[in-house]
Amino acid sequence: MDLEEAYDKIYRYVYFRMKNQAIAEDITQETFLRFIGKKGNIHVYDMRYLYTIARNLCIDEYRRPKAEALPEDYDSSMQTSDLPEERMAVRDALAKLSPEDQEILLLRHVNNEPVGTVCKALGISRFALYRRLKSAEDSFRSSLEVETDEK
Amino acid sequence: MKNEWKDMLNDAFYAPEAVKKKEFLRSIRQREMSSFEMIWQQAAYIRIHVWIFAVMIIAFAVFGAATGLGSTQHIIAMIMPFTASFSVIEAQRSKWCGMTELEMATRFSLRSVVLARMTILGAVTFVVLCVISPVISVAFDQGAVLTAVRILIPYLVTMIISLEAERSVIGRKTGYCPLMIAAVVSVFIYWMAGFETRMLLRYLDILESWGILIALGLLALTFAEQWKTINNVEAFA
Repeated sequence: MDLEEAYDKIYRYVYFRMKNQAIAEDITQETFLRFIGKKGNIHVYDMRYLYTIARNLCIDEYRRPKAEALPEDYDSSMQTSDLPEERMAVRDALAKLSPEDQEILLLRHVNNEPVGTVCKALGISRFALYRRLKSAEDSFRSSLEVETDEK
Repeated sequence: MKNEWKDMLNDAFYAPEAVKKKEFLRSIRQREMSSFEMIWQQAAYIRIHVWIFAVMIIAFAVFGAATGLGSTQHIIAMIMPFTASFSVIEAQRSKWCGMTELEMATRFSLRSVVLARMTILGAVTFVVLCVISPVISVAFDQGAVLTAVRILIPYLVTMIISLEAERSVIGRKTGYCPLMIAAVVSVFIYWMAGFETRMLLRYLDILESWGILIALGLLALTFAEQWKTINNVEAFA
């Protein structure tokens, strides 16, 4: 896998969790630096390892006390009233899912990670992933239908 | 999941363009070069006459073995000190070309460059030795190890003295000091083989009994000298 592609995937994942561009970039870079520090080189990208590091760094970031209540670009990314109706419906449907379901959809369908990588990143079995993915897809589908009908 | 849904999800999980990405990736890619790649890159900077000299030694050994030239082994033992001197000069070339300051400011330290060059030149000598020793030993019906030791000892002696001299005041002022040392060692072998037959026979007797130990001892000394040179290369620059 190309380094840039790996960077984009980790950055998208971290941004999804942090909803802040500057923090997401910092965590993404820290993830790669820790990976290199541990592995010694970056010739082989172990995405499972990268996701685990990124996830732990995000958790560390959540725990850090912050002055502001909401990140700077939270509104601009999620509340997009100027988008076409179809896109707005998708975003609204997605927002109704739990963060865990959103994470699974992101890893499996947006970052196109193999099942093994997603299982390792989330610390769940293949069976659990299959079940949760199916449930997330069903929830998303039904939410989307509701949103589309409402619009 | 349908493809159009995937596209919509891609869009929904939008992340703004990472502004520091290119800069970060560039800095990371600089670290991507492995030690092997670095050595391979440095091999390109070794001057052509070093490679030609190595090929010529092999060609001469093959020629001597094919024609049954009795003094092949002595001649090769006389040539090997020059291989050692070329190795020392080549490894220290940045010093003679006035490039040490520049190399110290580049992404690889001067130490790692000198170490890489020494590794390459050592590998070249090893390959030469591995090729010519069996050829000569088969052609002249001698033990391969004894042949290798006879060829290796003048090389190692020259290497040790040259590295020591390189760090001395005279060595730092005289660019081609290793060549003079090689000439002295070479003339000594010529003198021993041509005029002091008794001494040569005694030398061969010693080599037969202690040759491997002497070679190993000299090899250890060579490594120690190389280690000192590499450690001090930036201080002497």
